[in-house]
Amino acid sequence: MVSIRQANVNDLLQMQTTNLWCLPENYQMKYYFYHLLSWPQLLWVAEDFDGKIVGYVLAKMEEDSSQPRHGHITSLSVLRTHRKRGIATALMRRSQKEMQDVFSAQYVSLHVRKSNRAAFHLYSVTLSYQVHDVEKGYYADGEDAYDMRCYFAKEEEHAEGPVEEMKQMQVSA
Amino acid sequence: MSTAASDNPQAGAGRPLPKKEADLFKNVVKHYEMKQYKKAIKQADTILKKFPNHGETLAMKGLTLNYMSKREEAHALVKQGLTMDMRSHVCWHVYGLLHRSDRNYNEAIKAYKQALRIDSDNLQILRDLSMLQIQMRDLHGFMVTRHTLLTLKSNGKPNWLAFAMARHLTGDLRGAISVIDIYLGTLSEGSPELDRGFESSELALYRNSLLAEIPNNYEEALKHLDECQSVVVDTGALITARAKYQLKLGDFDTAHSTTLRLFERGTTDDFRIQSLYMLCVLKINDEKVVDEALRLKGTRTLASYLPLTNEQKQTLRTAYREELAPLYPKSYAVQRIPLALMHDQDELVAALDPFCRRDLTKGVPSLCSELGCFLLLEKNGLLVKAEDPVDIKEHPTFQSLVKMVDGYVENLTACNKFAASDETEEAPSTLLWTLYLRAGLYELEADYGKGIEMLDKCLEHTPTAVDVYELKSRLLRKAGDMKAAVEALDQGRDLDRQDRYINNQTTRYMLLAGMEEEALKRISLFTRHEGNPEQNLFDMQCSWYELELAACLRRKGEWGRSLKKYSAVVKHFADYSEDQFDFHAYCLRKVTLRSYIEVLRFEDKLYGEDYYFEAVSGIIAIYLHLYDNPDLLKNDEEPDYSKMTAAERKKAKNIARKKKKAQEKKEAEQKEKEAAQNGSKNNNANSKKGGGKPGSDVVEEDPNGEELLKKDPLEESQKFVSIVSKFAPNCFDTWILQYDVSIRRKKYMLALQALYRARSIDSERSEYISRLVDFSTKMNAVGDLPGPVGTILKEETPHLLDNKSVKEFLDAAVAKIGQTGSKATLPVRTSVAKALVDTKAGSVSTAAALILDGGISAKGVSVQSCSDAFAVLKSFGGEAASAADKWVAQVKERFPLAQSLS
Repeated sequence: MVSIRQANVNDLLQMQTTNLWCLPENYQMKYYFYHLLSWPQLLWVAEDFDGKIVGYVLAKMEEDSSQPRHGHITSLSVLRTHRKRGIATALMRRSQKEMQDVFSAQYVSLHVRKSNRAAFHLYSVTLSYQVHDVEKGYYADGEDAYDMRCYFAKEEEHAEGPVEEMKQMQVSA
Repeated sequence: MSTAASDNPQAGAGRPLPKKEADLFKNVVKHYEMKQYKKAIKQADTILKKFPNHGETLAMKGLTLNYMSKREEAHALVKQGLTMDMRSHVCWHVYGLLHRSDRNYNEAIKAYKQALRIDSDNLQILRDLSMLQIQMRDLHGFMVTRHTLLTLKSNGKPNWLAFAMARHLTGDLRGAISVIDIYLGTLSEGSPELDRGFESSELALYRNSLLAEIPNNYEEALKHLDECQSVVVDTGALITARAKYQLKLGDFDTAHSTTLRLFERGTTDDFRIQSLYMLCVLKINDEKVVDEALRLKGTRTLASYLPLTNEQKQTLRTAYREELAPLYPKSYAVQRIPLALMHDQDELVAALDPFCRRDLTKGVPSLCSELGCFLLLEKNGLLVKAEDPVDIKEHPTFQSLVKMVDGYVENLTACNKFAASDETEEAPSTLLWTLYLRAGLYELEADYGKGIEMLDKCLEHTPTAVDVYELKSRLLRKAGDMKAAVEALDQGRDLDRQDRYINNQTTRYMLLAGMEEEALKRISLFTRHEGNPEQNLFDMQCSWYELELAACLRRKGEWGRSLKKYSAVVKHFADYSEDQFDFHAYCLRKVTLRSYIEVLRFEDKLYGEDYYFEAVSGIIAIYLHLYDNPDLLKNDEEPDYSKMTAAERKKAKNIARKKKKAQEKKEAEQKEKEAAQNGSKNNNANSKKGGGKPGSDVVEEDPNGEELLKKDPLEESQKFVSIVSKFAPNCFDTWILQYDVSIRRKKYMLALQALYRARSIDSERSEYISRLVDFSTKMNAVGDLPGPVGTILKEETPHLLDNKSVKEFLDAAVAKIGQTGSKATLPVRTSVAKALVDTKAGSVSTAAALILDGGISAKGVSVQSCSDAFAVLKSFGGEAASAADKWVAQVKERFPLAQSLS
């Protein structure tokens, strides 16, 4: 049983520690600050009863204007001790939801190691990502990455207030 | 810099450069800004050939060299340039930039201010100055500078936002709001800045947070949300704020339905929002309760925090059952929260039964720790989780859980079913996870031997279960057999070499077992392959490893190397503080002002973070130990041969020679290793996923910390303890450290104050009791001190001892421990025993009895606290020899696997 909530600055040190405990791709604290200060709505954490961070998702918006607006998952991990609780799925769904609502993203992309079958299953089956490309030698140790994407369905936006509702009526008219 | 070069009419102290060179100078600045350093240098040299004393060119060349890592040359040139042209604002600005890059901010501020005296309206210098002012938290200075900038250039959005922020930070909330309003008023109708979008949304919500920060201003804040919602894209933040304001205004029903809208957005497993929901349902809007409930960490909610009345519990259960459960049948929170609202433990355990079965079938490793969250105790009017094995064993819910799980084990072993009457049979893995859970419950009640027995059964069943090895090794560690713990864990690690978690855990245990070289080999399997792994771990700010390694080296008496590792963590925190610098300007452009304010406030209390505290405690402990034992660092000096007989001398010299040879060999090997690593380091910069600053030699410089050992131990301790007293004043250990440092510095007032602070946090802790006795004894020995300090000490010290003498105070403590049902922990018993003998206030036998009679079944019993008690008994000498033997026997019975007692 964990709480899934939006991250704030007080979580960043623990997020960095969790990352160092789970993955070989690590980042300096400044990179976490950068995410929080650019796209605060896209960082989510899972914490246990005592408030220890046991999982996180670090995500951003790609700012390449030649492509449609889309988000990117920088890093996602859950401690081994807290697997099988659907935590990674929950974190991803929360961040993806905000990508759509706050940043009007059309899709989200990520990289995953070719050999990481558990993660590939999570993305391709549970979260409906598709392989967009293969990036040769993407990782520092030479392993290839799948470049995966998940296109967001054009669901109705959660209208907030009369102005937004009016806009939607105009579109559908 | 661009403006600096062009609008300075008196370049070169009234001797402007000819056109050709003036153009070249512009190019120098341009190339510097574009980071084309070589080109900049080349053109500067062309100017300097003709005008070797041109100050601004000298300064610019110096600045450029600084970015090419030629620090000393850079400083010399910039200084030379400044001497040549003291009246140039460019030279002063460059001088400031140079100091800034050295993180010498106060000097930089002075230089910028000097530059502004010459060119008061220079926007670039004003901006640079304001960034340093906010970095140094010169809030008033920041506000003045930002006001000047806004006056000079009122059409820049960042200038408006910065001035609003400045007012906010100086406490003028209304002022900040009106700056934003004036800015919005300057925009013409139809401006994209007024449309729905990220930046306008962030600005609106920032303005709203200012309104809410004004005390009792929720009505205005709520009204503003309605006004701005058409531009807001952060719907989650908007609805959350709205629900909070409605709740605080006592509009419970509206707040209730607003909270339901938050759940609709998919946030049912955010436990803070669950607390918000409960407050609405229970119609509680007491400011303090609301604020505390909404700040709760983890999966705590109002229900696991405040003892609720039965009526309140019933109301909440109904709400969850009838309103939330039908809407969100799959949400963990909605399923589990009602469990904390059960009336008694029979009902609770009956409700937990189906959850446990489902998780055991699925193999959820965290099940045991989740069940631990239901073992709550009431303490000071609040609910807390039972942590001590003594409390857990007595907890009725725990006893029922054990019974239930024992039933599972029995039935699964007999017929693969949870209950004999079940229809479906379970897969074999269910028994594995049930035994794993049972072992976890044994861990909670500190029966490690039985737990290990369970886990051995698991491994018989499935020898490849990695999680089982991990738990087994933890139980072995707690049972006191560190070597076996490492072996078990490394076995598990070998079964899943792709998993960094299990690899790290092995590393950590190896460090706990004093095997730092093997540990480095393990952790290096997951660092980047090229370069020195320790440098790589440093670059990635891997504090946990550095702290564990430092502690390992400290236990081994490798003081210098340990200090070096602790200092690495201190360095990370200096970098975290530095990290904010670039964001001062960045956030003004991005308009992420709410997060930015959060970051500033976080940075303001950065040095109160746990990792920093751990590093500082380690550093101080080492320095104080070295201060108390000055001989420790003199090992390597030659022994005094003159007092030896000829034979002894010969022998000693032989040993010394061998020692020296071994040392030389070691040093030579070290040098070879360093050379090899330096050779491969160049590759580091080319690797794809960077992040680290390649070539920073923090790890390799002075690897044995010899420079750190040369420092004055009390001065260093004092420096660090003053930081933690400022940043972690609510932490008990802060004041213990402050006491330990102050008493050695003979700063008796500070020591007294530290004791008062420690007492106000927890007067029952053994660390406090031992310092209190130490202080009273020392003050008696010192006698009356002159002046007001002496008066205060004489008046205040007795209060701490409840106006008793040390002997009376200790007698009372002994009597308290002797009472039936005494709650005194083993560490308290040990420290009272020690104090009794140290101060000669009681006999050795009285002291020993405090530990022997009931110590082993008290709270706070662990292998560590038992061996601490043993050490104290041993220190009593022959008189307590049989007591020590008896104690060892008790401990051996309690922890049969413990290796350290002998």
